[in-house]
This record gives sequence, structure tokens and C-alpha cells, in this order.
Amino acid sequence: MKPYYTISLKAILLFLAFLIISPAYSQQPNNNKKQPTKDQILDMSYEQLLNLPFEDLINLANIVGVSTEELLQMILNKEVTTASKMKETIFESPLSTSAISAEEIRLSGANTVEEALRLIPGMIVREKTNGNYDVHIRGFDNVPPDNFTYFSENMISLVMIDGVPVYNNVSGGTFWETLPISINQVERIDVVRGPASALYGPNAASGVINIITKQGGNKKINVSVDERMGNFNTYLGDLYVSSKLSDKFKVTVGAKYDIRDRYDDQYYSFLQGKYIPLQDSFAGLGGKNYRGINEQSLSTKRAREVLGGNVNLLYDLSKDIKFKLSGGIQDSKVQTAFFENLTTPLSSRTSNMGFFSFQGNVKNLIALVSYQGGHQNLSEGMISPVVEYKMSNINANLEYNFIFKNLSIRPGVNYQKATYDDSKYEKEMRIAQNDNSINGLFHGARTTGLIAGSLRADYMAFDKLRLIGAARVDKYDYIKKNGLSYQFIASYKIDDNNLIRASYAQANRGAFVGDLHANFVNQITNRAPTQVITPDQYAFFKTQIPPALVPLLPAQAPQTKVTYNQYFMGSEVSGKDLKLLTINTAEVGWRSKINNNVQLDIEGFMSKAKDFDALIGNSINIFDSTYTLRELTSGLGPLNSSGLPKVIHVEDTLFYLNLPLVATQYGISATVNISVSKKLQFKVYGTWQQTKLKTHISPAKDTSDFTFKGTPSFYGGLTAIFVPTSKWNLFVGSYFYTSQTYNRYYRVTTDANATATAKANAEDHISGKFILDAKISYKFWKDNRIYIEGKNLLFDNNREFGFADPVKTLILGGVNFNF
Amino acid sequence: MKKIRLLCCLAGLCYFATVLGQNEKFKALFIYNFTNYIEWPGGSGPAFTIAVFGDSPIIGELQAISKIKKVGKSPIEVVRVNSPVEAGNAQILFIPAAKKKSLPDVAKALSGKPILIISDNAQGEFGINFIEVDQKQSFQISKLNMELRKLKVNSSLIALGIPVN
Repeated sequence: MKPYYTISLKAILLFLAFLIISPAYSQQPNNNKKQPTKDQILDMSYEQLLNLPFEDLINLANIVGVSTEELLQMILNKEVTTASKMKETIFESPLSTSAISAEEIRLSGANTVEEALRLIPGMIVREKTNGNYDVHIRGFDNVPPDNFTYFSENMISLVMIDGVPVYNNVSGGTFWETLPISINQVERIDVVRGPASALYGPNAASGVINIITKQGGNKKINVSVDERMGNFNTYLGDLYVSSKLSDKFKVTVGAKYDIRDRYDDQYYSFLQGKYIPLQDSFAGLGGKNYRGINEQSLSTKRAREVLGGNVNLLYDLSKDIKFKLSGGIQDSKVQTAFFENLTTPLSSRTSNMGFFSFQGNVKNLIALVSYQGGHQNLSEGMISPVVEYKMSNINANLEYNFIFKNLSIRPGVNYQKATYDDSKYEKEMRIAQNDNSINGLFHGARTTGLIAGSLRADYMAFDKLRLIGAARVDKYDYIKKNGLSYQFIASYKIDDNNLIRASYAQANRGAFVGDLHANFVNQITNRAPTQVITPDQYAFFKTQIPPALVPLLPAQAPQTKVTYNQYFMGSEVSGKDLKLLTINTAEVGWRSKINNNVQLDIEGFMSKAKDFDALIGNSINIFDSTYTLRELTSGLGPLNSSGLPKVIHVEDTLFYLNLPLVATQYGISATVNISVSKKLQFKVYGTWQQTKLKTHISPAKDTSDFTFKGTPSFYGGLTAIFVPTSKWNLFVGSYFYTSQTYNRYYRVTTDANATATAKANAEDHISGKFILDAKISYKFWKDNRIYIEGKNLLFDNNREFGFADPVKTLILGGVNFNF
Repeated sequence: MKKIRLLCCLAGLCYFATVLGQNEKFKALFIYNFTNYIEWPGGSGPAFTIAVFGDSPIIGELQAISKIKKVGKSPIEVVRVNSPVEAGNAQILFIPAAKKKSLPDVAKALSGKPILIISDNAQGEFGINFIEVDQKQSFQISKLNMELRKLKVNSSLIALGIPVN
């Protein structure tokens, strides 16, 4: 993909300035002459308003618009569907649930779903490179520590679009850039904090993020176009079209592009422990002989090039019978910290994928079939292993909701199958490099899958007490023990303004292709013979053999061929039994509408996670052969071994194994929604947490218990929406977190100093950060807006994720047309 | 961290801030205006009763209107009810957004009765339902629902709202 724009930033800013100034002078006076202002209307008495014809009253109401208090009510009474798989207000939701609406996303200026998640309590969202984020729910990020960058990804949350899982089946993480939807297409994002696998299946261990898209409007045709441009060559475009073709049939189309440069052009060198130019970062670790990466594949500039689009056909035969058919494609390349190459944490990930889903609701029967397939390369240029593959994921779900008065019972079945095949790319790379020893990550076509049954009962007693029980059993391919997840929930509505709730749940991570089928050899050294035998050793050797042979020996000590192969094996390859990571969480919560303007939501939680798995050094086998005396004496000596090494072959085997580690997290989250006046709204939210690790084994094989510093102890946000007139919107928001420490894997050698240096170079202290964002938008004509938004306006350039890019200030100008 | 603490303090202050502002004023005004376009079988009787299901700030707004206006010759009486059965003799029952989940039960309990059910951002069997369209107050209107309840609705009211079945 090539850059799409070459327009200079100055030209863009001039254009935006023109757009801002011209309508402000040309249109506003005309409006003001004929119609009363909002303030004038609000000052009118009841008598005046009651004597108006209804048509005139409606016109005045349109000028006033929905009041901010009503906007607050819309926030408080926002409907969610993810916590219980049924419509309910956030206030009624029995779990730790939050949501953000399309309007909040628009006002905030969030460019991506990941950025919008910063507006939700309990979310840890850190920018790695421009536009590429690390997203976690509550924590357990980079647990266990001291591991490769790959394992810092969130692999324990379920991300869905309209109920269709979109996480990858390599590791269970979400490649956010592959979501084919545009941000303007998002109707709402629901987040459920805490385990929910009993309702949704694997990976809903730390929580669920469900992105709900717009289902089309009532207009014949509705078009929304959004264009943004900013520094760091940031160009964002977004299109959403909906068309109501008949009373029963709607079509929606979404499309986007997102192109950005990095904030910096340097790379962190694990070896040198500092940020240096790309080429230099490869020096030292095998230099140009290091076969892990072809450094030319990394662009020093580009952070993100993303294209995506989707089409949805919605057919509502009646109130109870609805069908939705969706298809989408995407093409992306991002440079981010994920599949590291051992020299630097950043690598380029490319994806070209297609999506398809069918959802049908017939009365209380709910059916879903989805397919996701295409091509991905987790780290472009990497040849040891090749991490490029074709993949396909199939998911089918069937549920029926039986309703008996106040009791609903929802049985369901679920089938999932994922196939990853790297044989084509392994073969291509072998030919390109003329080396048949090159391996793919999976070394062929590999699968993972499950079949599951679930049952959920939801009972409401006296219109106040709600009791929910749910259980799901997953039979996984290749995993011996079936996965059991469950939820027990109780909520009690004290009155219309207060609800208390408690829950206990267990959920597990899924079984992924990487953990099961990783199967490759990393030939770290496989070079020409080198000088292993020292002169002193050679001199000593000469004293140990018959003196008559000494003159026949070569003057210099003979060289030795050394091979060092690291074998990476998933559980299915090694034959080791793997248990799936399981999280148990107990929670209590209280929601209160303090008055019409203030709502409070507090939750306390305790989570315990066990059965983490990671690549663990299992054994180091050293095979060597020695020179015979005859070889050293030009064929004159005896065939006896000389004892001097001719070949040393080291086999270092790493298996995906369960760890004895147990992680326990305690925390409290609180959210306060406030309407200070009719023109100003606040939302304040924060999470305090502490995570303790027990039986953590370091790379040096030391076992220890300690308080984990990788998750910030306090994080949250503050947003203010100011609506001075119907035309102007101002948003000021912050996302903040306290300091944290990221620990990557370090190599332990017999050299204590080298080990200490490697350990220090693998530890990154991330400073606390207060990220201030703002957006000001002006409605210049009908529903069309121009706006300017700024990210990181306190110019804090500290990085947010271990060894990733420093995050700088981004200023964007944009225009939004709706017709 | 000082900045974080400062902002937390600010949020705390906001929490205790006195809050005022217009609430359900326009909805109450709309409700009064609806009565000019709808006929109830047998008229409204000695008093025109508007019932509100549960607590809602609209009660105060409607009471303010009741002091100024009548429906026909009948004074307006605004009552708060805790169950739909209590609204059996009312002409209008308003269901606030917080109670919208009760709409199916309310509609069932008052089935066939000549009561205009007005809901707020709800879905289901209502006569009129307040909705926001592009941050503007609007309403959906179901002629069918009102006819089933023997209410006669003027077509000009249907034209002012968003007709639904």
C-alpha cells in the first residue's frame, strides 16, 4: 500500500480555517433574525408556551433540542444487550456493564474503537504506535511478566461485532486494525467487565467488548462522510450509508481508511538497552548473520495503513422475525509491538481478510453463522519462523429463549473451527532464501475447534430481585479436560433509584493454534566452524598425548562447528497436556441515581487467575563429537578420541506449558455521571487495583511472590461535554494512569554481568500519564460539521507501552457531512 | 499525579454542585397539546386525569400546566401511580423512560381501556412514544393502538408525529 495523500499540512490547516470562518460569518446572522434563541425560549413562561399552536411549540422544541439533562438521562438509561443477551438499561444490568453511544464517540473525537474504549471505566488502553493500541479489561496485562512481547497482548477478552467473535485464533488476542467497520458505523460499544464465558464462550475471561453497529435509519437514504487530516501524515476517512428500500428491507454500507506515520523513527534495541536507528538495532545479535528478520521489511515511518468496508442487508419480516446478512473485507498493515524479532519489539503485521455472517431471529430462536478468512503475516520479513499463513474461522451458534412469566431459560449450542495453514509461505520462503531448513510457525495446516452447550436461567421475583444462573461446557479439540464456565448473579432493586448486585463467575481462555501447534526450529547459530578451543586448552592437550604425535599436530588449535537450535513446540506437538487459563471473579456493585442529574456506579471485584501457559525452557541437550587423533595428525595417529570438540550441537527445547503462577487481583471501580448545568456534563471514572503474583518463575528460574507492577494501580478518565449553543460542541477529556513497569523476557547466561545487563535492558518504567484530548465542532449547515481535535494536548511525549514509540501530540482537522 | 488529584477534587465539587435546569417541560407541554387532538369515549368526566407511573420530574411540570389549563371544561388532575391498575380511570398514563421495561405489562393490564398510553423512548404497545431524533424532541404515534382503545385521533396530530403501527 502506498500513501494516498501528498497534500501538505499547511494547506489542510488553511482549508480548515476557511471552512471554520466562512460559515460562521455567512450563515448565523440569517438564522438569528427570524427565530428566537434557545435561551429566549427557555425564558418563556408556561402561559406563553401553552398558548402557542402545537406546530409552533414543536418548532421551539426543535430549537431547544434535547436538554443536557435529557442527554444525561439517555446516558443513564442507555440500553445494553451484552450483559444478559437481552435489552436492559445500564441501570438494570446485573453485571459490571458500561456503554458508550455513537453520540459520545462523535463528541469525543475518538478515531478508532480502541481509542473510544478509553471513555469506558475499567479499561486499560495504551498507545503503542500512532493509532495502534494495547487494550485490556481491568488488568492481568503482561501476566506472567518476563515474557516475549507476543504474550503481552490481551488474550483473555472476548471482542465481538454484533455478537460475532473477532479475536484471532493464533493467540486469542484481537488485531484491532482488522475490524472492517468504521467508527461512524458504531451505534454503541458495550463492555462487560468480569468473566462472561458462560454466556459467550471462550475468552470472555476478563470481560467482553461488543461493538454494536447501526442498523439503518428510517430515511430513504442517509449518507455520513467524515474526513480528518493531521500531523504525522495522519489521514482518516469514514463513510456510512444506510438506505431503507422498503418497510422491511434496509441496506447499510460502511467503509474506512486510516493512514498514519509513526511518532518516531527509532527502535528500541533489547541488546543495547536504548532507542537507536533501525539498522543499528540488528547489530550485535548475530549482526547481518542473524536469520530471524529481514530488516528491510520494516518501514521506519509508517505506523498504520488500514482499509476496510462492509455491506449489511437487514430484512425485518415482522416484529419477531428478523434476518441480517453481512459481508466485509479489509486490508491492513500496522507497525506495532506484537510478534517481536528478538532485536526490537516492533514488527509489521499485514492482514487481508474477508468476513461473512448471517444472523436470524425467529420469535425466540436466535441463530448465528459467521466466517472469517484470509491471509495474515504477523511479522513481515521474519523467516525464523515464517509467521505468514492462510486462515479461516467458522462460528455457529443456536439459542432458544423460553419465557415463562418471570422466568426465562435459554439453552444454546455453539460450534467453532479455525484452520491456519502456513505451508505455502514456508515453501515460498525456502525457495526465496534457498534454505530448506526454514520453518513456518505451524509447519503445515493446523486446526483448533470446540463444540459447546450452554444453559442460562433468568428469574425476576417481585419486580425487584433478579436471579441468574448460567453454565457452559466446552469440549475442545486437543484439550483433554472440558472447559466449564459459569455465572451466578443476583441483583436487587431497592427502589427506582438504587440497585445492588453481586456475582460469582468462572471463565476460561480458549485453546488457540499457537499454544497447541507451534512447531518450528530457530537455528540461532549454524555457521562455519569457529575457534572454540582456547590456546591454553590446546597447550594442555599437547601434554596429554604421546610426545611423538605432538610435532604432527596443526600449529593452531582446530576449529569447532557449533549449532544451537531452539525448538518451539505447542502442547499438541510435544504431547504435553495443557490446561486452559481460568479466571474466577467475585463482584459486588451498587448503582444509584442520586438525583436527576447525578448517577453513581461502584463495583468491587476480586479475581483469581491460574493455569497461565507460556513457552518454557524444558531441556537443553548438548550433543558433541570429538576429533580423533588420526584426524589431527594428517592420518598418522591412532583412531582414539582426542577429547577436543569437533562438533557441538545444542538443542534447547521450549514447550507451551502451564505455569504454577497464580495471579490475584483486587480492585474498585467507580463512575459518576454529572449534569452540572443544562450546558455542561461531566463523567468521572477510575479504577484502583492491586495484583499479586504467587509462584512466579523468572527466566533465571527463581521462584517468588510479589505485587505486580505491570498494571497501573490507578487508571481512569474524566470527560466534560460543553454545549454552549446548538451549533457548537466542545469536548475535553482525559485518560490517565499511574506509573507501571513492563518486564520483557531476558536471556540468562553464565556471565552474571551479561545477565544483569539483559535484565535491565528488558525492564521499562512507564511514567504515569495524564492524556488530555479535546474536540471542538461547529455545525455550519444543517447537520454538517467541521471540527478540530487534539490528542495528548499536555505534550507529554512519554511512551505508554513497554519499549514502543513515544506518544506525541496529534492535531486533526476534519469535516463531517450528513445528508 | 497532582493533576489527577486536582481533577478528582473538581469532580467531587461537581458532585455536590447545585443542579438546576429544564427537565421534562417540553414533554409535559406536548402531552397537554395531545389532548386537543384526541377524543375520549364519553368525554373526560369531572376531571381529566393524567397518571404517571412511578417517580418522574414530569409530574411537577404537568402540575404546573394543570394550574393554568383545562382539557375542555374539565380540570386536569395529575396523579402518581405505583401500578397500572391504579390508572384504570385515567385518560392518559405516562410511562417514564426508567419504567419503559414495564410497558408490555402495562399495556396488557390496561388492555381495551380508553387510556392513552404515552411512553418515553420505549418500544411496544404505546399510543404515543417520545423519541429523540437528531437531539430534537419528537414522538411516534400509533393510530392503530389508539383506535383499539376507542380513542379518536385527529389526522393532523398524526402528521405532526412519526406514524407507526
